[in-house]
Amino acid sequence: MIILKMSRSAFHDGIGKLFGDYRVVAPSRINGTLDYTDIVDPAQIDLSDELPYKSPKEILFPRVETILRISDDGIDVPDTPKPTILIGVKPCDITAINVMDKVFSKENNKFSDPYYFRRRESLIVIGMGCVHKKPGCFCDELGIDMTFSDYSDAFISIDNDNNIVFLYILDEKYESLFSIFDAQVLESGSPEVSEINSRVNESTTKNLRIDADEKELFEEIPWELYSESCLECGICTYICPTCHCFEFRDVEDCGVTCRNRCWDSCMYPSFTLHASGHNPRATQRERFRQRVLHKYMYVPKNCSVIACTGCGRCIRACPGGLNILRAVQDILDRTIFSKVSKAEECV
Amino acid sequence: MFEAERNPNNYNASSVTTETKDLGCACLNPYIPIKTKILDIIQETTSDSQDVKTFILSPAKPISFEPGQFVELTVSGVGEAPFGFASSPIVEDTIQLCIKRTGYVTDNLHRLRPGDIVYLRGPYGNSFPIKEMEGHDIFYVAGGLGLAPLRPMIELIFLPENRQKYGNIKMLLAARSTKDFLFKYDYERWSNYPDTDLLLTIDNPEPEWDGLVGFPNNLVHDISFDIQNTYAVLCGPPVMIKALSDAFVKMGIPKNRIYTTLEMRMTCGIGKCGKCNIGHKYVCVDGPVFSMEELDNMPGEY
Ligand SMILES: Cc1cc2nc3c(=O)[nH]c(=O)nc-3n(C[C@H](O)[C@H](O)[C@H](O)COP(=O)(O)OP(=O)(O)OC[C@H]3O[C@@H](n4cnc5c(N)ncnc54)[C@H](O)[C@@H]3O)c2cc1C
Ligand code: SF4
Ligand code: SF4
Ligand code: FES
Repeated sequence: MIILKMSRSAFHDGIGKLFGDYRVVAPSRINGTLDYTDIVDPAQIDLSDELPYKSPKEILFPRVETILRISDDGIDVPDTPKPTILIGVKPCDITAINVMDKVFSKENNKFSDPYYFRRRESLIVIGMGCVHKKPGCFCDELGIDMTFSDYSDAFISIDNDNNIVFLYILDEKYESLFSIFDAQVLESGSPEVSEINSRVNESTTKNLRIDADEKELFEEIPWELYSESCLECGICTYICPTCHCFEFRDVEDCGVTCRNRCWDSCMYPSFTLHASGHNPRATQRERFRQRVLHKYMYVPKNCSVIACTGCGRCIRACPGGLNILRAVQDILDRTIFSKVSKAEECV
Repeated sequence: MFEAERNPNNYNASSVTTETKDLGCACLNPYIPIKTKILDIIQETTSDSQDVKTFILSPAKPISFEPGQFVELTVSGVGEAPFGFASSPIVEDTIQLCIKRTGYVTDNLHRLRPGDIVYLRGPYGNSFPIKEMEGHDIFYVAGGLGLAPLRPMIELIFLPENRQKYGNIKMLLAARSTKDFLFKYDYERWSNYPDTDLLLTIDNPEPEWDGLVGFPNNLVHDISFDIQNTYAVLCGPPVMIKALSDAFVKMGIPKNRIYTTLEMRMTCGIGKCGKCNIGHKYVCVDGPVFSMEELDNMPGEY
């Protein structure tokens, strides 16, 4: 593996050269809030040890995306957007890209989603580790290493004392692209670089996956206790890096219908409302149950990954104080307890 | 060197690169619908309580489907909604959908005229296991609009080359009133096929009605059929399906011989939008056809 060592200003200069061919997205501070933002000047990039408020999912799965234009002349598809470089992505958000790759692929339900993958194919992910765990984060409980993720194309590590940036090129296909940086080229193993992948194997193996009978969980877990104070605002799902449910909204203008794919939320009553007025998920109790089990049981069953990265965003943002981690831990306590008590009954 | 240590599940861009180049082609883009002309519209119901019409459609490219599958239909400038195929699957160049006026998309669809254009994409979902049912009797029970998604199977099994593979056929068709029956023009032909009984029932008595009166779940006890050798195929409102399958199970039909088709709110039809799941199963891909045995093992969230 090649590692580039450069000064912070050389890093910024190199990024500046990408603007023509790439959309550059990186953490940046706007009115005090750090967020993944479209960058027009490398000086905007803020690589501090903080988790951006929202997840970067809208780069691959925009809030609103026109997928078709339908008119009497035919149907056409908007052009493929410019390739994107996403810089400074935290390991939890890189893990979320893995979840989305699986959910939108054929592996999940036989169809692959072409709009997701045309953005994904041209996305270059440059990750960056966390130094400290933030309040509300629980990536470690899910076995995610906060310092590194190899599900990225390159990874940054910063020596803040000396203002030096190390860029580890994980996918050699990008070696030539990154020659834009005025940098010293090092090989891994050289004494100057720290072992970036050393902690991978030490990462905790805790696993919060819920593995119990679906019907029993539906009936025996006191879902209403967890969801009582939910206000149905939907913030938890918009802010989440793995929530991926959507709705189509058609808008007609001068004989051309744009079919827009918009984010939807399982926390809204209308999400499952039938035209007849019947609603299979009648209250917030059932909706929160869907959110928890979709992440911790259904996606794991269908795509073999847990669809929660422990980023803690939903917990920090929820005005009702709902806490998915506490709910999951309580469910695990109860299901494991019931398995134990059933085993005792058998004795 | 480092490559080998990378996670084997890693995303491999080269495996999809060529697949998604030209999204204008329906072969690569499941969201692209086929331009479709409305050839004719048949008014099915004549009651004030519901408006159901059958749309006879001619897609620019034939759509072949199996009984039980559905399509997504777009009304230009309005939106898209899922509907079960309602015509014989051996006729591929025209397709019939039987649709109730009930909301935004369907209301706008009902305003269209023959010659107008809509768009279809599909087929989606699984289908009735008609092969597995060979050698058995079939008991169809349809409540209201539930007859529409059963019609492809009914027509397919009545074909001369298929009819002898099945035993007796019973059809119990329920409607709120005599004005609410669908496909009335088919009944005489259907009841004339060999070893076929067609029974009609309405919710409340009406003068000059000589058919049955009452809900299907209260009537099946009085209909004689070979319980040991019958597949029951049901479709109708969720309450009817639940009550009727209970009745059939009590009478002794095994749960893996009772089939039904479910409706859920759907957007994509291809297992991506996250709307239609019951537990970890997606009705748009794992369904809409389920046996009572399968439904019994799923949470009752429908
Ligand atoms: C597998 C399957 C088979 C079916 N088969 C049949 C059948 O054979 N016959 C039949 O009659 N029905 C059938 N249905 C039911 C049918 O899909 C619904 O009746 C239909 O979706 C109702 O649509 P609607 O827009 O008229 O109703 P609404 O309740 O108004 O809306 C339903 C959909 O329209 C969208 N919508 C509503 N208002 C707006 C708005 N203002 N702007 C944009 N979008 C809006 C919603 O997002 C929603 O997705 C089937 C359903 C399924 C799942
Ligand atoms: S953020 Fe909190 S209050 Fe809002 S929908 Fe989610 S759980 Fe409910
Ligand atoms: S469910 Fe909450 S903690 Fe988990 S990934 Fe989504 S926002 Fe983060
Ligand atoms: S309709 Fe979108 S997942 Fe089933």
